[in-house]
Amino acid sequence: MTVKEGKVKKTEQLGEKVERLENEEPRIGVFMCHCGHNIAGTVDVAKVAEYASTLPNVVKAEHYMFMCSKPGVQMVKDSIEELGVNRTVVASCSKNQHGKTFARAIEEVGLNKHRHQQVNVREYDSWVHQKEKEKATQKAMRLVEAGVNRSRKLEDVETRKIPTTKAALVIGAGIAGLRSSYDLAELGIPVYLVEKESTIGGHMTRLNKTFPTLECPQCSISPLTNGVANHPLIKLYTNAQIKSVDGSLGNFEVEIEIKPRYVKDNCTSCGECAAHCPVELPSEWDMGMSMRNAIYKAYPQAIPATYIRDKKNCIECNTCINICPVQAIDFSMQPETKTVKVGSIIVAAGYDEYDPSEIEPYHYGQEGYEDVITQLKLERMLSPTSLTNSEVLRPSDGKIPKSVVMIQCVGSRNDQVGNQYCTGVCCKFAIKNARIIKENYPDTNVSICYIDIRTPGLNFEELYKSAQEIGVRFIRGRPSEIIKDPISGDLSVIVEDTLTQTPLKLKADLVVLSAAMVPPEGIGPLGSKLHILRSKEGFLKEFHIKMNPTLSSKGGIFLAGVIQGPKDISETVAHAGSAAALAAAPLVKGYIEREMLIPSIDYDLCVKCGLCKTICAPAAIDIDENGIPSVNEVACKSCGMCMPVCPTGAIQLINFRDEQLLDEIIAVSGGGAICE
Amino acid sequence: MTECEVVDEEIQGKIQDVVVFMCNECGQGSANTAGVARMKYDPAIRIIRVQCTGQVGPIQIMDALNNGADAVACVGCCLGACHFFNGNILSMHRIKLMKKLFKELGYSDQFINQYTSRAAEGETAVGDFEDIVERLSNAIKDEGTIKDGC
Amino acid sequence: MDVKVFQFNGCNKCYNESLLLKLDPSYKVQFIANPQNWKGEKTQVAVITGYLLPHNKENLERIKANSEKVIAYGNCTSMGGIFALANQHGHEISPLKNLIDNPININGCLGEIEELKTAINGEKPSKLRTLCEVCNRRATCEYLDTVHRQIELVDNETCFNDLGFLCIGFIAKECQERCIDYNTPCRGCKPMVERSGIRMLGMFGTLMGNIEVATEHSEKGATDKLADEEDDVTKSLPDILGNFFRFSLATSGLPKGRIESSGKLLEDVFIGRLIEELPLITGLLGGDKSILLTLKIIEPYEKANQIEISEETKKYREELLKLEKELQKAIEMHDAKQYEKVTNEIRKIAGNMNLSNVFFGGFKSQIKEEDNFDNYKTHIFELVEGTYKNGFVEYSIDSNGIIKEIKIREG
Ligand SMILES: Cc1cc2nc3c(=O)[nH]c(=O)nc-3n(C[C@H](O)[C@H](O)[C@H](O)COP(=O)(O)OP(=O)(O)OC[C@H]3O[C@@H](n4cnc5c(N)ncnc54)[C@H](O)[C@@H]3O)c2cc1C
Ligand code: SF4
Ligand code: SF4
Ligand code: SF4
Ligand code: SF4
Repeated sequence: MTVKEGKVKKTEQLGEKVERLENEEPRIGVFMCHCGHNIAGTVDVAKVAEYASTLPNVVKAEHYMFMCSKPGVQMVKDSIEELGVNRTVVASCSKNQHGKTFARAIEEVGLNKHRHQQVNVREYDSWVHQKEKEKATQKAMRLVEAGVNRSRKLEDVETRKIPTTKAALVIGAGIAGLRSSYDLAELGIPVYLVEKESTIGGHMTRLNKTFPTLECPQCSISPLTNGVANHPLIKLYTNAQIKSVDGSLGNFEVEIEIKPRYVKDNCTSCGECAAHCPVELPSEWDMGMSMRNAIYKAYPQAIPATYIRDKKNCIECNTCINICPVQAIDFSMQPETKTVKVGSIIVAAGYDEYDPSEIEPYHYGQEGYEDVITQLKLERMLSPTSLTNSEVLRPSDGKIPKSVVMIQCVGSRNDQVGNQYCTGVCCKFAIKNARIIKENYPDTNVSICYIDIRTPGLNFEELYKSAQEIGVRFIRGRPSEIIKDPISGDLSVIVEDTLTQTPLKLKADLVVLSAAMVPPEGIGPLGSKLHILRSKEGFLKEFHIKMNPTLSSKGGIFLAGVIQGPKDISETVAHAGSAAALAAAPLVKGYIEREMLIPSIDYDLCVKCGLCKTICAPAAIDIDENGIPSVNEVACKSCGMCMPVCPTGAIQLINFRDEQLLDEIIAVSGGGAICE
Repeated sequence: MTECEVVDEEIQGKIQDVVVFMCNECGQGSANTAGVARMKYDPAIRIIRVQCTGQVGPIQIMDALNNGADAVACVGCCLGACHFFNGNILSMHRIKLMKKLFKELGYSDQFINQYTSRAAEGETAVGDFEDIVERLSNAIKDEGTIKDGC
Repeated sequence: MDVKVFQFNGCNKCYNESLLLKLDPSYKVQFIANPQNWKGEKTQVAVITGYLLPHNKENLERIKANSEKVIAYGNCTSMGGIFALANQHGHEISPLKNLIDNPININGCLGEIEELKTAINGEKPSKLRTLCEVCNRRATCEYLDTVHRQIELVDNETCFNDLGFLCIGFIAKECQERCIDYNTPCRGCKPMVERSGIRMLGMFGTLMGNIEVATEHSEKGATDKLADEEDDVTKSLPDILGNFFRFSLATSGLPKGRIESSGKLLEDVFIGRLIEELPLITGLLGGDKSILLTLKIIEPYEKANQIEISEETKKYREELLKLEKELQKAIEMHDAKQYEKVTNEIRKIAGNMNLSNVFFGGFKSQIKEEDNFDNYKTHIFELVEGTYKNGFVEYSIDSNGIIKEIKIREG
């Protein structure tokens, strides 16, 4: 192989030098494939090969029956060994089909595989222009010339193995986070599970029954909560938050901030402290459907079972300290920061229930409208451990309602509140709850006001039917207002039944709003710490909606459950399992292989504007304190999107540089400037 | 797929090189699918493979036009389904401005366009190609090629 | 050193500025205002100023043949400059480098005298920083949520771009006539990269990614196609050419414009521009009459739309007009000292020789410490469709505030 000594232009890349042989004389071998009749039947291959041989730097131009056959591949290899060819152009089928075959072949004889240029004259030419032989031949000549031009300046691209840290971080311990953590741990990967609340299980533990089978969610989730809490490879941090995240795919460093519980791990969960605590307040976990003390456990089956002290509401009477039989209570506990190293991160931060108080006509949360509640509160009311003993009672007077009206799409499908999406789960849980009420109180009228009922999927239409059959009334129309009679104090829902076009005024002892699922509080700051992007709805954005709905915009960070968009539990579990599998892959393997097909930055041209960082979705550009950008070779996805935004053309994707593309463009553009 | 209806001979003769930047994902995919299905389209279509339409900037578009292309188009994935996040949308914004720029210069804005296609559906790519040729023919009918009258 | 300065077409600001060479005794400077009549003596350095048309080629070749070194001084000569906006209407203004081989280029509007001296002396030009590096505003470099027209300026701490007023400071070399110091985003008169306009289009087009772009669904092949209708993206930039190609249209690689010409090159420069950009454009191309021209052009608009002009504004404007008279006198007398003095006075009020501090309704930034700026601050104004005229100019703008027609009385 003859490589002329040339001037080496150095471009700094993360301290390492990427060397580019600028003056190496290209020696190009062009191989035109007949593909039997597939190409040669339309394109005059001999003519194209002959034309190719006249192009600058082409030292060999051949045509052959089947380039992908053994002898064909051997021809390519021989040209390198015998003629010192240092760039190969094969004009045959698509890059996907046989591009790799030839790239591998040249690698076998010592050339970097990125020096192969595949030209597609079959799918892009002979197959689509079968009736226009002359034009197809002309086009093939152009395409081959473009390939030759492009190959002339091709640079070597190194493939690097990057070792990964065998551990994972999971943020959020709802059903999604639990599923992912358990799956990862079962693959032998140590997991740090971080939950901001004092207990794990998320929303699912707060539900009464789960559709479509009306199962007890506590029963279905408890094997998992226990499994996670007791797994030797899972380290659980509750009452904790992510403080900072550094690094990229395969190797992250994360700081976790753990807030004090004021109760040590030796707590036996006997409950003596709470029994004697003088402070009582409504339980947030229970949506006010039960009371808790200043030292408490969110709910009886809560995991971890260790009690927690609510510092804000505690009056520091010290009763609990004195009463605790194992001296577990310690008011001097301080926040702790833990730094962990992980290779993958899964975000499973779930959702919040939409707060309907911004929809003025529904008066939610206003005085005198205590009987307007949300579905989540209804779930708590119905649940076996509720203050009402699972009875449906009006919050205002504790009476069993004679009429219940449910309003769908509250905060969903509503441009006015800025949410266009359909939550997709509310129709199902409203029907579930309506049915439960109707079953328990056959004399109570239950109506659901809807825009559309959306119950796709196995078993859900049946659920809908069953509710209709037992007498739940479905009214098509979005209620305009909830009004309160000034004298009787009764609530009514104003709605037009759009099927019969009759305005209705439905008397309602209890109004239940099917509130949307919205992004959880604090997701903005978490997203920025992780350098991942959010969708316009505010959930975390998946990398590709179809092909990769669990990967975030950044490599190595995955999404599980509702944080990516509203889902029910089955979908959440499936999504979380997929996230775990993807997150595990590089950790089980122990390394990631990355082709260094990344941009290089010419620091003489760079004006330090930082715009490349702004648009780089996987956050692969780091900017140092002097404003100088550098490319993170692991995080970069080789998209080249940073090129057009760079105002000076300083950042250029290797092998797709402006000049390299220009060479190719010239060949296919027909030559001759528009206005010289 | 019907063949492009418009194009009378003379105009057809003027359409020689249409540079189409196609992304490595749906763009390439759909053109390959079209090939496999032997769908016909105008031989003036010249495909250049790029990583993502987000990579193609006004520089490349002007390079092509300056070097004699009759029209330029970018073909990426469906909106919202870019394999590199939002490259097709960003490209769309730039192309929108390029079109405006050409209008300001007194040219048709149909010399530069952005499309999407779906890898599994060759007809989406062919539909794009036909649309490019159709728009270009109309533009040429109205005001000649981009090269005329310089 | 023997230096000859030639003035070709257009505004004579750079030509006038080269008067300053006389302050340096090492140069023997000669000014040639009519190169057509020039006989052609040998010279060491030829400095070319003004914009160039194809028919100037012959003269230029003569100059080239007789000089050891040819320098294109100022934007018009080195890259086409502001007048080349007329190429939108089919004119053929070209930079010197397209007409003769290998001139030395000094860009800028005004070209900077120190740079010219460096070139005359054959020294290596010093590496300049970008405008952003010397700018007092802080940038966050985020996607732009909106793009505004420069009708109102509020904050002088945040980068113009973050405020939505597109600024080209990223690729502009740090300069003397620093518009950004006078609440005026940079339009890139000293670009540091080639094809700066195209690059800016790529950069801003990308950064506008958050602004909604029109899309449509087509029957054919059922793929999403780019809607041809207007949308927020195109509406944000009513005059791309004037914004990004203000000085570089002739070297941008864009095809020659096909918009019908009004017949007059100067008027063609103005047509298609935004009303709020008018003062700056007249400031740029008015030569030693730029102050008069600028004030005359903004006056009818102010009057017709009842934009109130304060006494203080009037006072400063009058002062400017007086200074311009003195300037003309100094130029006539070839009095470099006086020229320097007067231009410095003008700069104190107008910000720079391009008058970036002059605007509708007043001034964009404070002139003197002791003044109460509120009394002569620029007014926020509205875009009102209509025809505006006084004895000097007549122009009409459409509902988007774009100049449709303009007539300027010569002289
Ligand atoms: C009223 C109602 C009834 C429903 N009924 C059903 C039903 O019958 N059947 C069904 O299939 N689905 C039902 N759903 C949907 C179900 O609740 C969700 O699909 C499921 O809970 C989603 O689980 P998740 O883990 O994604 O989110 P979550 O359960 O919300 O879990 C997220 C966890 O992350 C934690 N977290 C949030 N932010 C952070 C942070 N920054 N740092 C650390 N931790 C954080 C939260 O504290 C929480 O523990 C219902 C939903 C509602 C609102
Ligand atoms: S010290 Fe606080 S937590 Fe303990 S019993 Fe008293 S009020 Fe309750
Ligand atoms: S190529 Fe893409 S991923 Fe890599 S640095 Fe540029 S924008 Fe980021
Ligand atoms: S966009 Fe270009 S000029 Fe700006 S920081 Fe990045 S590489 Fe440098
Ligand atoms: S872009 Fe303009 S305003 Fe912003 S920092 Fe640069 S020079 Fe200053």
